[in-house]
Formats: sequence, structure tokens, C-alpha cells
Amino acid sequence: MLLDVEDLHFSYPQKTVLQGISFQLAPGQLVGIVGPNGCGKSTLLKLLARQQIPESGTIRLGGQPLPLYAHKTLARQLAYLPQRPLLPAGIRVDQLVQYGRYPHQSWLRQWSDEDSRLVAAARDRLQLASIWQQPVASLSGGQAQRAWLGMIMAQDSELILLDEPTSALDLGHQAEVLEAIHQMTQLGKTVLMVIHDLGAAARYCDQLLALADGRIAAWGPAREVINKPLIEQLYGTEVDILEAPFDAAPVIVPRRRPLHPELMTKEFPC
Amino acid sequence: MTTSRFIPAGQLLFRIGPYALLLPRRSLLLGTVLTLLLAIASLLALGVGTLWLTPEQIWDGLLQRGPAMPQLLIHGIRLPRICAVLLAGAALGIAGCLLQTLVRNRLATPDMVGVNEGAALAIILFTIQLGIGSWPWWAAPLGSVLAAAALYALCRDPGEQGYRFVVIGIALSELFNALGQLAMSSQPLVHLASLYLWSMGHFAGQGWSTLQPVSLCLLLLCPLLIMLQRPLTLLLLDPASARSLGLMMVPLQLSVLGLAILTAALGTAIGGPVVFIAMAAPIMATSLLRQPGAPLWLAALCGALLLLGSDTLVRLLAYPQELPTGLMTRLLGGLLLLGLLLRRRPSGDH
Repeated sequence: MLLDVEDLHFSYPQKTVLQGISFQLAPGQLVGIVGPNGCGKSTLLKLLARQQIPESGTIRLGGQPLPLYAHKTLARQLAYLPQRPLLPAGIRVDQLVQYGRYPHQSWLRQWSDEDSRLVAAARDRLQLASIWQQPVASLSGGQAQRAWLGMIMAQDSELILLDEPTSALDLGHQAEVLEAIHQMTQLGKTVLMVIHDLGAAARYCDQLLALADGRIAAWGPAREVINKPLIEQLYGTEVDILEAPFDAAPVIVPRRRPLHPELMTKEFPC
Repeated sequence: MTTSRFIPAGQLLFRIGPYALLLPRRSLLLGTVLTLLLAIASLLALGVGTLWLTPEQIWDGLLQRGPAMPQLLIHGIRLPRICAVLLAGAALGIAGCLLQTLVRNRLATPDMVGVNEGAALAIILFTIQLGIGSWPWWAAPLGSVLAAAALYALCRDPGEQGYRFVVIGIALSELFNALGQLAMSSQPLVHLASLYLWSMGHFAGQGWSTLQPVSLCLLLLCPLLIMLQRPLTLLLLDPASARSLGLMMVPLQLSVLGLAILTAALGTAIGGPVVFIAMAAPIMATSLLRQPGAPLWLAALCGALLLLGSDTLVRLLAYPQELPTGLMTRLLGGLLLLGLLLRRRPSGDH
């Protein structure tokens, strides 16, 4: 198992966030973490990335407990992209992607053939060549996110953790970024990402981990996890699940839930 | 661009066996140009003043040839003063660059947040205690460390873009300044004329006896600065991203802070708490470099150049009076600060 999580607990002073999370992850999969706002998705990702320390429970990466890793060793095994990363002023795409090589370098070995190979590979795979020398701040949301993914890809870690990589992107850019992420798993990487769009999650992910109130509500193959009772339980709203004409991926259509049901008619009065 | 051999744009790669160093081409070029400018400016500064010297006189004076008067003027007065200015400017430039990068805010410089004033207060108190004539430069690091500790105790969380840090720092800086003036006002003025001028940022009369130990200390800090250069660039990312690239955030932040405090204190020990240099030098360096990052060495060169310019201007304008250099930097610094605050912030700027 690449990742082995056992009985994870975490709470903030005022609020319990995670209570007893356990799961195992085999290599080479694209896994989505879904669930309603405030269910602890981002917190779980931060604990897995060692950005925060769990109250109790253990996380093993490649068999070794997370706290035993040295900083740079961990960075070579695990990459983490936070939800809204901060961009250094004026940084270009190529510079950002090269940052990903930092954990593989040292003061006396600032650049290697391996570095040039992986940076060039990230550039080509994510189709960054046409915007390679441009400032990241001048790019569209989708392009900028691809540049960040380029940095993560150049880091060349086995496990990749992404916190809502497609939030704030429109339909087209979302597909662009998800295809890029899917490509990483084709290269043998394991990707664990928090994602809000259930349809996209079911379409792209191999496995889904559904969280509710800090516990695992469902865990399994993506298209099995997405079912009417679970979605209605997670989000507290009635839904219909259709099939996409193209690939039979589930399409979740929430029903209207008026604040004042007595006013509800078939045709909504404007 | 071939896939096999690919070198980061704008960088020069030096390989020796398994080792490889990257040097940014533009910063090498800028470093050379600024060093040349600095050399020319220093020679000019040697020539101007109460008595203007011709290039031949400067040359002969430097080589200790020819008539005694230019020799005395150069070796006894102008050369130590210029060296003091260059050293202080470089130290303040580095300190400013470190602190601005750490806090991700251009306003966070040692003179804004009270580190320099803390160093100055310590020197004033020790001078009064030990008697006039001694120069307790070693008290400066002590004062700046205490000032930084007070700042840390008061604000813990640097706040949104470090603004909390800056605002509390400004209050502390005023407080230390007032305490220093209070301490001096309790002494007979005749004894304190030079100390008073120094407390406003003044470089006249600073001899080799102070410059030697201070420059030695700065030299000892250089290897640490060279080691920090690479991780420092990544500090401009958010803490989570920087950590996930393998940075040990707390030790790194503490060492950057420690180095900023020490360099600022050593810079202050020479010519007093001059403002503006620590803020302007890194801004000048990054805008010349046109790249993100923390250009420590360029900031040092820019700091030296800016302070030398201010000092020479003061010597020319004030003639035949003596005016503290700090007044000139305060004037220029006020304008710069206004400009920074009024400028519309482009997104992603720090």
C-alpha cells in the first residue's frame, strides 16, 4: 500500500473535525475526496501532507510513519497543492515549474540532467510550451492552474495531494485541468484530490472517498459510490441521477428545495 | 529547447564533476555594473567637500604620495567616512531584503519595525554608562535582538500581509526613539553633541576602530547568507507550498529573522539608525532584476550606492555646516513611503 491511514482524529479548539478516518490507497489511482462544506476534506488533506499534525492516529507513506520523514525526503515522496497558493510577484511559468525540483537539489547540486528532463517533461505533458516565458499572473485561471500542476509534476513524487484544483474554474478550464491531473495517474502517480463537482469526480476518479461530519460515509469505486441515497444523505437535498449520453457517467441533478414549500407550484411565479 | 539538455532561462550553469551551480545572468551583469558605479561614486565622493580635490590629487593621496594635506584629508577623514557609509548601506540593504521577504511586505524593514532604533537605544545607553569617548558598537546586536523579541511578544501573528507586524513595529520604533532622546537629554549637551548627531544618522568621525570589528562580523555572516539564498526565494510562496517543497519553515524563518536583526544592528552601529536605505535598496534591486526573488547581494550594492549618494549630497548641501546624513535619507524615505502607499497594488505583489 502506498498510503495507510489508521484511525485519524483531529479537532480545532472549538470543533471536532475528523473522528476515526481509516483507509488504504494502492498506487496509480486517481482518488476524489467529496462531501459537503465543512466536513473535513481539506483538513484530511492537510494532515496527509503533514501540514498539520493529527491528534491521534497514524499515517504511513510507503510503510513509514509520516512524522519520521525528513523534510526534503518527504517532499520527494509527496507533493501538496493548497487551495489558493500564493504567487511570488512577477514569477514566470518556467520559474514556477522549476521550483518543483527544489527538494531534489542542494546547494552544491543546483541543476542536474534529471532536473532538465523532468522540467521539460512537465512542460510538454501539460502543454506549457506556448506560455513558458509568460508571467503566471497574466494567464487565465486554467492556464495558471496548469502551471502550478507543472510545478507539482516536476516534483516527481509518488503521491500528489490537490486541494480543490478545479474550484473557481469554468467548464472548459475545469476539463482542461482534470485531463492534466488524469494524465499524472497515467504516469503511475497516485493523486488524491478534494473536489466539489460530483459529476466530474465520478467521471475522472477511480475511487471516491465520501466524508460526512468527519467520518467516512462511503469509500469505493467512483461510480458505485455515487448513488441517490448517499448523495441525499451527504448534502441533505433531493437529487435525480441521470446518465451522461457520452460515457454513462452519473450526472447529478438536484431538485428544487424552496425555502417556503407552500409557495411551490410547477411553474415558479416570478 | 531540446528535452535532453535544458538549462533554466537566463541562468548560467557551471558544472564541476557531480556539482552544478546556477548563476542568474542578469544579476551577474547588474552586480558588475553596480560595483563599477560604486567605485566611480566612491572616487568622486573622495574628491568633493570643503576642499575639492583633482583626480591626480585623489590618486596621489590614496597612494600616500605628494603633499601632506590631501593625504590627511583622504586617509584621515574622507576614506573612513566613505567606507563607513558603504558598509552601513550594504548591511542595511541586506537586512531590509531579508525582512521584506520574510514578512512578504515592502514596509517591513528593520528601521520601520524598531530593530534599528532598539540597536541605537542600546548604544546610547551604553555610551552614557561607559562615558563619552568609548564606542560600544557591540551593544547594537543586543538592543536589536531585544527590540525584535519585544515585537514578537507583542504581535505573534504577523497578520494579513504582515500589516500587524509593521504597525506594532512603528509604535515600538517611536518608543525606542523617544527613550533614546530622553536618555540623552538627561546628560549635559556639550558631551553629547556627536552622540546626538549619530542618533540621527551621521557618518563623520567614524574611525577604523569601529569599522574593523563590524566589517569582520558582517564577513562572518556572509556564508550563512549564501546558504540561505536558495530557500529564501521559496519563502515568497505561501507557507504551505514552501513547506511541501521541503523547507523547514520554523528554523528557516528564525534564521532569516536572526540574520536580518544582526545585519541591521551592525549597519546601525556604524552610522546610527538611518532610515529609507533598508526599504529602498531591495525595491531598487528587484526592479532592476525584473524577477521574483530576494536579491541579497544586489540589495547590498544598491544600499551602499543609495547611502553614498545621500551622504555625499549632505556633505555638499550642508557645507560649511555638518548635517546628519539621516536627515537626507529621511527626506527621500518619506517620499518613497508616500509613493509606495499611494501606488495601486498589482495583484500578487508583496
